[in-house]
Amino acid sequence: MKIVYSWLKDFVDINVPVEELADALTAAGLEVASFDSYKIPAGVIVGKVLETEKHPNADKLTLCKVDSGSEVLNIVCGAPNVRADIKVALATIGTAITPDFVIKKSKIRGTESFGMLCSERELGLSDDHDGIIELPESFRTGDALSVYYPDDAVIEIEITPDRGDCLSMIGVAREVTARYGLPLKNTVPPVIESETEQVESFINVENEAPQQCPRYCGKFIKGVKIQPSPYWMQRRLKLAGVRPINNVVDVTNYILLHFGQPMHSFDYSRIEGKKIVIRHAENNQIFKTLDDSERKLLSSDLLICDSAKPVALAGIMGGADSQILDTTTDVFLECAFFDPVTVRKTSKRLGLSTDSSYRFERGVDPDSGLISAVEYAAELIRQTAGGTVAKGRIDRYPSPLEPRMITIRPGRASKILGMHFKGEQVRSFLVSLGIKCSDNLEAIECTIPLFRHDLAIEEDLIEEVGRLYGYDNIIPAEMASISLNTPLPQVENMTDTIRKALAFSGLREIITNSMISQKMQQLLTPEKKPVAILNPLNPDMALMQTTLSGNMLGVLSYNLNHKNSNNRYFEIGKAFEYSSSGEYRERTVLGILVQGDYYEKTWNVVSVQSEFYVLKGIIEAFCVHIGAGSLTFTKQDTMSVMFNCEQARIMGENISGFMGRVSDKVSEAFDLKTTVFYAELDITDLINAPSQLKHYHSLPKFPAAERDFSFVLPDQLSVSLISDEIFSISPLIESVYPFDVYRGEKIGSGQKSVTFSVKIRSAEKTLTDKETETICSSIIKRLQEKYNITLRT
Amino acid sequence: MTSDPKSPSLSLDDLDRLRNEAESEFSSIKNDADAETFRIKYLGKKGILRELVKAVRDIPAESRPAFGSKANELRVHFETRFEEAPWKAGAIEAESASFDPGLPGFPILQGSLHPLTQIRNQIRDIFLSMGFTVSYGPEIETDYYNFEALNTPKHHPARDMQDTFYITENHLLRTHTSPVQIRVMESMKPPIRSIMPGRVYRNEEISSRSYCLFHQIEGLYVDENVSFADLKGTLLAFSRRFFDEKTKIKIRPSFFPFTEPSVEIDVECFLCKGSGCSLCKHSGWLEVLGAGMVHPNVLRNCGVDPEIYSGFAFGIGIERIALLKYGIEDIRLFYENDVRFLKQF
Ligand SMILES: [Zn+2]
Repeated sequence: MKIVYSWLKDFVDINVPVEELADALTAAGLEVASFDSYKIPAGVIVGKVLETEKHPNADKLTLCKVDSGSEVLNIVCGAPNVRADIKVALATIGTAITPDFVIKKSKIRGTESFGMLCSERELGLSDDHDGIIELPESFRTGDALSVYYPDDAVIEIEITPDRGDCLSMIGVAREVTARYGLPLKNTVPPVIESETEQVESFINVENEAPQQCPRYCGKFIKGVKIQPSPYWMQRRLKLAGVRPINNVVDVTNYILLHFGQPMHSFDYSRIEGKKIVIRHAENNQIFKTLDDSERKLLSSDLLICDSAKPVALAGIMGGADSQILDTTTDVFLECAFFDPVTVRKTSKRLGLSTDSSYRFERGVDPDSGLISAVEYAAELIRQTAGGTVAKGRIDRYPSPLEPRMITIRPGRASKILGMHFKGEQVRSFLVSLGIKCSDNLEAIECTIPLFRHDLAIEEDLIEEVGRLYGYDNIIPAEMASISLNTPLPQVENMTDTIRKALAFSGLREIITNSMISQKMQQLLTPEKKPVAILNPLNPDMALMQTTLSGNMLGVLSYNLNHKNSNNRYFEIGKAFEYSSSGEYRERTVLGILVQGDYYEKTWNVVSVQSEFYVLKGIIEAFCVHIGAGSLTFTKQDTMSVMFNCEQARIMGENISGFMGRVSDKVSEAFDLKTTVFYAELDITDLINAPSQLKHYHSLPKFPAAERDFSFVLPDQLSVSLISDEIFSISPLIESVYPFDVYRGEKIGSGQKSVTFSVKIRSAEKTLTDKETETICSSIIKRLQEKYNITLRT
Repeated sequence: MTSDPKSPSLSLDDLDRLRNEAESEFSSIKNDADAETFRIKYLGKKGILRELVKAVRDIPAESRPAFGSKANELRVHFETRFEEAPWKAGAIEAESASFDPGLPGFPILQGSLHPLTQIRNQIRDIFLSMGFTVSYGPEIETDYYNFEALNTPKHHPARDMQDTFYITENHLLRTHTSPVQIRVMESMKPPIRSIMPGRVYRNEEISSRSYCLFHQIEGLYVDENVSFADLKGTLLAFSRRFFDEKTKIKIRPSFFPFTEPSVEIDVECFLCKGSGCSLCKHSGWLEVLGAGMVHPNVLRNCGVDPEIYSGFAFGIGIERIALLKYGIEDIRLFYENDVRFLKQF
């Protein structure tokens, strides 16, 4: 909403610098986005072009003789619209259009020029630079142009959705009056009407939808002449960002900005049957709005119709078939209060938002504001377009809206704001906003003006008190009483630990989008049922991700393209899918991705490739950190699309997932020409589980015996299975670690030799060689019997 | 002072001083030449330590045995150390020539936490120390929790403030963390003090200033007698701990459907300390927080009686704070995850 300073002064005698006014409005809750000053430079005067001829040396230039009031100047002008007998804005020699652009006597293509004729843009009047300004004939030649266009300022305000009442000059002026303790000037000149012709004899209004249109008013003006509106009105409209069209349309736009009341003007000759009917549309009815678009309607939409056809989409836009034309002579002016929700529903569905619908959605003044608007509009049309205003006005208001009554207790205001307010103080703040207040200072009964749709409950009034008192003046509390039983943020502790453990393993945390394309989701997790977005921003974000891998691989691709080699990332994020019962499943998952070297080769280190067992080590390490218990890694027989043959399922007490080498098919989809290992773990249960107490074991008092066994195993037999088997043989076996694996000709194909280091220890005594040997024999015997595997010979 | 052993006034203290001098010279031996100099000076035939024995004669009889034994001890000490010294001819020079502490250290792997995580945790830790706990809610929300329960009916223009991604007519991607307020108030009775961090979504064109998702930290405090002065005190304390202990705040009226009164809190620009710079667009202030007193309708929707209880709520945009704090010019950098960017935090 652009507020024109001079226009604001129609309502309030305010005369502070624009910077100060901007600060005051922001402090009142009307956030100022920007402000600009408009000033016609000194030296720009009204000139009159006396005669023109073509420049001898340039097609597009014109030689002009311009009367400056005191002399006739030769001026070269490049504008297409320059011609004899028009009045122009003449920048005389010495005028500083900007500090860097001072008009000098100059030679243009060999012809001397003694000044410049200005466009609107050059003078900051508008963005128009198509030609020079053509000033009204009424401007006196030789006058400074600033006599007609005095200095002004425009303040752009962002109005919050609750303050529809501030979408006008009068609305903002009300805030200014409350802020500065000034009176509101709100006088509308009386409309001069016909003595004889009654409005009801020209138009008959039937309201079939009083719920959706509680009030409908109208005026009739006969015999107007459509032409440009007066310069002062055009100037205000332009400063407010509205393009002037013609005198009648401009008046309705002017009133919209002046009072915040949208209006519509109809060409009376095209209203059939002298009749206006307010009714609902029919389903699938087509209506052509004045922007020439055909709109398909529903029965919930409200239409303004004549006896034969719709003429306007109520409160949103008029119809193409009844709008004001250059030939229009008789005008019917509509001024109504439409139900905000009805207007909003239609406007949203059609994607058609106008200055009018914007205001109706937020609620306009159905009371005196509406009446002032329609009366003043009629008078302004009479003044600017001529014609005769018919006597009286149409006013269909079957059940007048009652003002809301709210009681505010100054005691409650003090309690909520945390600052003591006296009853009289509360009352005076509210009175300054035009609210009628009772005299009971314990519980002030307030009559809310009908334009303040935002004031509905006591707290709304408390806000008004706080706002006018100034929140900066409320003393901040220095103490708070806090509960001694605040639960510990377990999830935070767990995720912090996981993040730190992974960072210490050399991984970088990344944060990616949660949305993914259908194509990627299908490629990565075709088995899952994804959650789709009804209105995605683009096809790449059509679904909620079912796995973090897609967006993480995207980051890898980005980094490789930017020559960042050897990547190691993790991300903790959400994966979404439909459960088998159709519920949304939202799980916290951890994705880990490694590529390239884990250790890069340096002067004293050989490089270590990021491969399956590096990734496995990273996972095991963070699980130790958070006390997640041991994990099992099982070879997967069924091949997934995401991985090639090196893949495993991961299971633990509160954690599960998968890991492996990313398949060629997936790598190709991300344009990766490198080997990538990826793991994804569902950590939802893990981070929500109560934290595990770490168990202490007293340190051993007796020495351990260490024995190594090399067994030859068939390839399909997992080393972890044999380790577990050995471990289970005796309670005296403290640990089993497979420290060497060998494959080769000496062993034979399909087999591997694995050396297990076994530590045997008793808590009670030093074991004798014989006791140790007994255990060793039973290890060999058990593996021979159960798995038919033998020591390597 | 001189340590000339021929001086008649030698005492046990002089022996201590002599020992210190010899230790210091011994430890500064760098090569063979230094070693030889030391040997001649102290251990040679005419060396100081040998001469000491002769000096015993000049010592008064009563202190002669103590002096003698200490002098001998000193000589043996340095002879042994000299013999056991690790340097042999040329060894020190050779080792010292090949040793170069300027070579890179072992490449211990370095990971990092995302800047958004770091900022989030800094903010979280301040509120934890003020007695807040942490609560969570789903990212796929119902229209009820995201809007209705927060006093934002279906056809209210306030819905325009947040462009929404819908899953179905009634399910959506939450546009703010405020629905967690409702879930928290439904699940526990006041007093409630909690922050609610999380990811939120907005259906807005992606640009340097906005992304289709971002992260917020919501805060809620509901109890008897919670007032606007408490809101102000809490957020002032937060701002001072997060930015600077002298930070000032400025409060402007604003509008959120679920708080009444609603305010925006501006924090004095930490870069220019309020004098105006490009970060704060020359205003001296940074917009960082939205807040307000919990709307009575919201309390009622959660079964909390607004005549007994009151509360405040606030919301902080983590990206916004991170952009400001680090002077980052494009929000997309956070989601691009260029390793050269991540390395800097
Ligand atoms: Zn600054």
